Order: sequence, then C-alpha cells, then structure tokens
Amino acid sequence: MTSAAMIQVRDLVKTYGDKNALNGVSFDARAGEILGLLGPNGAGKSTTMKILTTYLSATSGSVTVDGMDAAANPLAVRAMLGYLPESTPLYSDMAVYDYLLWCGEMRGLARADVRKRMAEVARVVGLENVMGQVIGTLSKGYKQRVGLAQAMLHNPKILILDEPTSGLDPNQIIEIRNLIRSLGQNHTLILSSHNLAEVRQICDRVVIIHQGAVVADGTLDELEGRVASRHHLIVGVQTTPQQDAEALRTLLAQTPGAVRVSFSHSSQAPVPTAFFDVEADTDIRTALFERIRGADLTLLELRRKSLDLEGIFQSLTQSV
Amino acid sequence: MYDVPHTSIWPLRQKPDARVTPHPSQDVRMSLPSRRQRIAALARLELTDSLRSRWLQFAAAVYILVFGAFVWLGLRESSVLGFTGLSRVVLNVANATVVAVPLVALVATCQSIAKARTSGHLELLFTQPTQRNDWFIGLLLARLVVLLGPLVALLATTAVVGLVTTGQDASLLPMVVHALLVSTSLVLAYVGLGLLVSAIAQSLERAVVYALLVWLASVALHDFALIGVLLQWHVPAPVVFALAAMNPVEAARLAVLASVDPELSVLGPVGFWIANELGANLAYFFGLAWPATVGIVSLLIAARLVRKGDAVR
Repeated sequence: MTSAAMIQVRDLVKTYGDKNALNGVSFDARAGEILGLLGPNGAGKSTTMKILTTYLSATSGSVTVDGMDAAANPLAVRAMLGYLPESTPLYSDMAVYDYLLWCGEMRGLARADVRKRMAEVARVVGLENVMGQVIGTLSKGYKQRVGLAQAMLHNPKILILDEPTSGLDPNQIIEIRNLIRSLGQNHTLILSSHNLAEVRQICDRVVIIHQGAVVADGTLDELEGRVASRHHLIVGVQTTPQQDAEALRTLLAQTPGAVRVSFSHSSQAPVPTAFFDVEADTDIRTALFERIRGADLTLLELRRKSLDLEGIFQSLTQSV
Repeated sequence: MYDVPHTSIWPLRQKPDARVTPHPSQDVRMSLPSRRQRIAALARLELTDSLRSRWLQFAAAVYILVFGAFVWLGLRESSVLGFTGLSRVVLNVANATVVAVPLVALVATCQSIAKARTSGHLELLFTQPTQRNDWFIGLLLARLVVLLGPLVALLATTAVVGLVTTGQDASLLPMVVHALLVSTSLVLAYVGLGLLVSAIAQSLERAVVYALLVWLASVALHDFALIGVLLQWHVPAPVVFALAAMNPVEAARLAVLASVDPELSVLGPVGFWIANELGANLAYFFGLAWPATVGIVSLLIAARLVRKGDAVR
C-alpha cells in the first residue's frame, strides 16, 4: 500500500503578470498511491501539474520528486515520470507505431527493449489492433490510449494524467478508468478531474484546489468526516416574483450560527420556491425557522442534507 | 500481433514479440540519450512533420519552377552579362532565388513554434527528458534541410550536367558555388526571422500577419521603393543607401551580382554605393555575411524566447 512521499509539493506559487495562479500549494503524493487533484475550472490544477512535470517553472516554492529537487534536476525528474496532458496533443500524421518508437528513443530505452515495451504497453492499453494506423484517423478514445501508452512506455515511477477521461464516451470512460485503476497498482499516479464520481471510483486520496490554494487534502473518508462534523441543511422558501434570491440568501446568512449560505436553485411549480444550501456549526433549524417566520415568509422545506463527494466539493469551493 | 504498413516513412522494423505479460516489465534498460541523440531524434521528428506537411515539396516545386523557366530561357543563344547557357541559367536562378526565398522560408517557419505551443505539442514534448534548446535546434535543422535541400540538389545536378555536357564552361562551377553560398545565407536570414516571428506570436493568425509584415518590409526596403520614399522626405543619400542595404534581400542580391562583376550598373544604386564604399571584395563579403548575421541574431533571440520559462537552465 502507500508509504513514503514520492512527490512533495511545498508552498508553490505561480504568477502570470499580476495574476496569482497558485498561492502556496502544498501536498504530498505517496508512493503507490492514486491521488486525485480536484477543483473548479481555473483553480490551478493544470498549472500545478505543469510545474510537477517541469514544463513550467514555479515563481517560488519547491517540488521534490523521489528525493530530488525538480528545479535542480529537471531532466532526471522528466525521465522518472509519464504525462498525459488534457488535450492529448499527438502528431496526427504519424503512425502509432512510429510515434511510440520515437518516444522510446527519446526516453533512452535500449534498442532491444523498445519493441518489447511497445508490445507490452499496446497490450495493456488495448492498442494492438491500431499500431499501424495513422494517429489522426483514430477515435478520441484510441488517441487517449496512445497518450497513455507514450506516458507509460518507459515504465515510469510516476504517472501524471490531466483529465484523462475528458471527451470520451461512456464505454471508453469505463475502460480508461479500469486501466488507470490497474496502473495504480504499480505506479504513483496523480490525476486531475472535474468528475467527482470518477475520483471516488479511482483515487485513494484527494487534494482539492480552489483559487490557487489547497482547501482540502485527505482520503475521501477523512474529507467526509471533516465536512460531516458541520450541519448541512436544505432550505426551501416560497418566493414571489418581486423577491430576488440574493436578498433571501442574505437574510438566511444572518441567522446566528450560519457559516455558509448559497443559493441552490429555484422551482416554479406548483409553488415558486427558492432553495438554499446552509452550512452551520450547530443545529440552527429552529433559528432558521424563526428567522423566516419573522420575515413573514413561508418555509416550504427544511431538512438535513446527507453529504456525498459533490457536497464536500461544493462546500469547500463555494464562497459564503 | 499487429501489422505495420509499409507506407510508414520510417524503415520497416521487426515486429515486436507479442508473447508478453499484460503488465509492464520492471527490467526496462534505460539511459538518458546524449544531447546529440536527442537533437537528432527531434530533428527527425520535425523533418517527418515537414515532409508530411509538404513543405519540402512546396520548396522544391518553387525552385524547380524557377529553374525550369530559366533553363528554357537560358539555353537560347542570348547572353546576360557575358554569360550563356547553364552559367546564365544559374545566374538568373540565383537572382530569382533571392526573391523567392524570403516568401518560401517565412511561409515554412512562421507558424512552427506558435503551432507547437498552441496545439500542446510542446507541453508533451518537454516532459520528455530533453531541453527546449534541443528542440529548437532540431526544428532549425529540419527547416534548413527542407528549404536548402532541393536547392542544393538542383544546383549540384546543374553543375554535374554542365561539367559533363559543356566541360569548357569555366564560369559554371564558381557560379554554382556563389549561388549556393548566397542562397544559404538568405535562407538562414529568413528562417531566423520566421522562427523569431513564430516565437513572438501568441497565435497562428498573428504569426501569419507578422510574417507578411516582414515580407512586405523586405519588398518595401528594396532599392527603388525605399529610395523614392526617403528622397521625397529629403533624407541624406548615404542614410537611404545604408537603410536599403540592411535588407537581407538587397544584400544577397548585391552578393550575387558582385560575384559576377562589381563595377556593373546592374548592381543598382544601393549596390553600386556599397561596392564603391567598401570595394568589390568587401561588398561581396557584406552581401554574404549580412543576411547570415540577421539570421543568426534572430535565431538567438527566438531561442531565448523559446527557452523562457523552462525549468531547465
């Protein structure tokens, strides 16, 4: 199972002009672990991955890979990892065979080993039938497999996969997920995803990044436990066309004990209702009821919410 | 087992042994390739890409078209600057090449870096154990091969054919050598400028626009247009000539003609002024060295831009 940290990320800062893409990101990825990087669009996941792969240099902070400082030993670190970028940029005019052969050469694989490895990897990712085909003629799923094949060709200790299932159809997603899961038996694996169900299925641990900072780091059980210590409520208030959701949200947020209140959605039928997610340190159902009644509003629904990964994610990445 | 088609541009290799375990072996022998090996592999990748993009065919077609036109014209009995037959062809080809090379070279290079960047190829490439400088050198080598290869082949063939058929034409071989030197210098200039444009441009569309501006500047800075405009504003003649001479196309044209006869009025006002100021040999040297210098400086700046942001120092 997991052991010492294979990757240590410490206080990573990346600025583009006057914009901070990362504000002191720190986390570890342990050997033999599948770590999920989660976060909304623009949270800093891809920037973090690009720094891990040494494609980008950090403005400050450090990345240590297998005990080596990545900034000081980038070539050695690059040799140690395989990377699948989000868009899978491949040479579309090359045959799969030619491309993988070239990758093997660039990775410094011994001549005798390249073809053997190609055969192994082709078998693992299911490329055997298309090795002679030009990459541009392959389906998105097969291109993703080629991307995975090049990443694992040199049998790296670490695999970094950026949104590995994006754009795939449901069958392809299942296949790629199973593949990633099996790869996790032999590699340290970091993957980013929006898809919480995918993270739940694949990852041993999750790091949630929001606005360039780590807002949660732990196993799914740990995160659920942490967030479950709070009270999460769903509140439905009858609205009139004149009432706007923001005013109602502010009203609820002023309830003593409320930590976070966010507008969820509104329903038009049969009675127009605005729904809110309320997070509190204590059970504030009575106080909420009194507040809504005091404002001469009609409470249509008030119940505790059971938290899943989506709830945790939402809770950690939505502002008050 | 899988089938590798013969259409692959790589040599057909032994098919891999499919009798392997489904999980990767742990005993992969791997050692980081040397810098030379990395550059060679990257150059081959870029060359392969160029061949598939048909840049080589495009460059070859332009040169053959120019050459064919002048062979048809040059083998007649008329003479230019005292040259007849193949010598005349080569002289004319050299002159025409000076005009064609900027456009061909800019078209073949102006999008290369921007395209690799926007398509994400660089992101994937630089997670391989290689440096950005290696890729840049590989890209440069591939483009030089694509742009100079057909010209070298064409001129070398001409020299051989000329020597075999008209062995007494003593001016042919020197003419071929001059044409090659001038073309190489000019190709270097515009490959450098093209790659610089590509490194600066943030999008493919901008790269094309910048390249067009460079090409227009090359045309506009050609003798008469520039002289006409600047004399209209009463700029001193030496300044006008010096500015015009900064144009690599003008300098290369000067080298071609100076290699024939530096005293001739066909050098044009700028060429004549330079030949007068510097002397015949220096004028020829300037015509060769200036485009190459422009190219090398542009390449150094482009390489620096490509290297920017790399974790590898």
